[in-house]
Amino acid sequence: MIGTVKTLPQHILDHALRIPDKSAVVADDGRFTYAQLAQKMFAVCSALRQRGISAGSTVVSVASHSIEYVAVCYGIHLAGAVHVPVENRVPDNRLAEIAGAVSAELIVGPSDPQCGVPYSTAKDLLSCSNMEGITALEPSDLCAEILYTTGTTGKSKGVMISSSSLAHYVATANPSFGMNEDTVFLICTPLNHAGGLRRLHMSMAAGSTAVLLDGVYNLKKFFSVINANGVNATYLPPASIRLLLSLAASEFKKLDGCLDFIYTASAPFPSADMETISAMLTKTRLFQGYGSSETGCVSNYHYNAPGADLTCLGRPHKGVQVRLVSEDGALISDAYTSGYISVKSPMNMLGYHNEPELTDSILKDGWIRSNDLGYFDEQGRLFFAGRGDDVINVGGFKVAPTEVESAALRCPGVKDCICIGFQARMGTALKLLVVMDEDHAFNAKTVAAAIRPHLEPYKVPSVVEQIDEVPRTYNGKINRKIFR
Amino acid sequence: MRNQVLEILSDIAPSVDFESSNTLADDGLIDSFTIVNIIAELSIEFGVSVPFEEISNENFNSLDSITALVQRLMNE
Repeated sequence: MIGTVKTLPQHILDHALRIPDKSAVVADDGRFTYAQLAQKMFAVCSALRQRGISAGSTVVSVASHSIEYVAVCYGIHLAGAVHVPVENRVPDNRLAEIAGAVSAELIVGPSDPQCGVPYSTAKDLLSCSNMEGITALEPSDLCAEILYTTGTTGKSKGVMISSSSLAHYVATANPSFGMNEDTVFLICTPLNHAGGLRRLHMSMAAGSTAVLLDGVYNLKKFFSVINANGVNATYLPPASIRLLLSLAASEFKKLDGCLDFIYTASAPFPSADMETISAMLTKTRLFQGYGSSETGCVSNYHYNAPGADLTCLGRPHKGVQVRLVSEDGALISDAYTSGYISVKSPMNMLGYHNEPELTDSILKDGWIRSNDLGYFDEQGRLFFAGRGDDVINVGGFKVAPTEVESAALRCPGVKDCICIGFQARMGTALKLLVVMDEDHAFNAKTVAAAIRPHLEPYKVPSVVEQIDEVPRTYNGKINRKIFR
Repeated sequence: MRNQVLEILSDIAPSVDFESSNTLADDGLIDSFTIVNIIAELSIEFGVSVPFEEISNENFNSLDSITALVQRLMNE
């Protein structure tokens, strides 16, 4: 257990008193110092109260990369209400659907979805001037945030997070990176998902400056924003790193040392890409973390430190208990034996919103059982072994397709690939579908031969075929479902 | 050339109406992976390489801006 933890509004108020003129957040629509952010946070809180929003009320807000959104987010927290952020550019009907599902009492966004729920622009909330009698609440087990995630079932689920969980999140994550007031953190992932939103929470708790950018793919802007704001830390999912390595490697390399650290999480990270970025950025600390919306941050590993193991996820954070269980729930205690990663932590979610059965299926006695497979080495360090539902069983051997894909990506000319199981005469076998770059002709034998030195024989696919494109979900993860 | 570019774009993202939007990238009609695919296809078809400075929303917001980008890169 970490000593005293504070809610996010409490952190912001502390910074407003101590470092009032420090930039808190910078985006296309301007800049707020901590003093200004605190003032706007109070304005939003007050405006919400005038609209009848109180502790426990639910407010849906459209998560744009703007300073206004940041003020709305923490104003909702300050009011003790439940913040439900939704995707920027969300279609009106989806916005209405989520607002209905969480019984929202207010929608904040760029336009009124006309669904019968009261609506306000962010600007209107920020312009409120009556701010009497507002105090920041202590951390509690009441729900503060509901994050909609795409689950393995394909149906979106609302992960309910308490203010205490968020307070523990920042108290745990920040020291693992050395986040402080000198950190200028670029957040270019969506601010309605844990990946981006938790980086914002971390920055606000540390008294850092958060720089917001709507996506990485606008590469010209990505690099100019980094240079213009003196960005020295960022969070990049594996797909964004792949994008930078493929389209702007030489410019990316120039950031070596300018960036103090890059944090990566959210999806398995191909080891070929990890090797490339490690060789390219030797002065920047590179971290890979393990965690989820449901469990918060579990571990964090500095993978380009001298002698580090690229595939390692590190030891669980202090206060976070991790155990591995088999399919039938039996505890696995042997090193190097894979099991479902189960987590008990003060950061754990309260449950899935309005889904008691789904919640009960994964949350028991404070333990959340994930669909991720992992194992420990004899030093107690955690390793990822794939998603439980992606694992392919080949003649009794279990194969995580990500491992095969990582190896295949080392093969010259293989630009992208997906490993799937298929029914061969002798049972399930592995098939690798590869996308070649324009400089290399496809040859199944060459690809298989390139994989062989890196993997056990049973992990080498028996069939390799060429495809035009690897199917991906909207957020860039490989879409394996269509091959099941 | 505009038609050639349109054909490439339509192959990559058949569900997007490239002729009617001037905010393809701004509005997220084409995402980062689509842009990567477009860049790859343009490179093959027209023999141009797209430097990172040119990978901006402005250049990928419309069929015309993408066509102009290719034209400019071919003239360089």
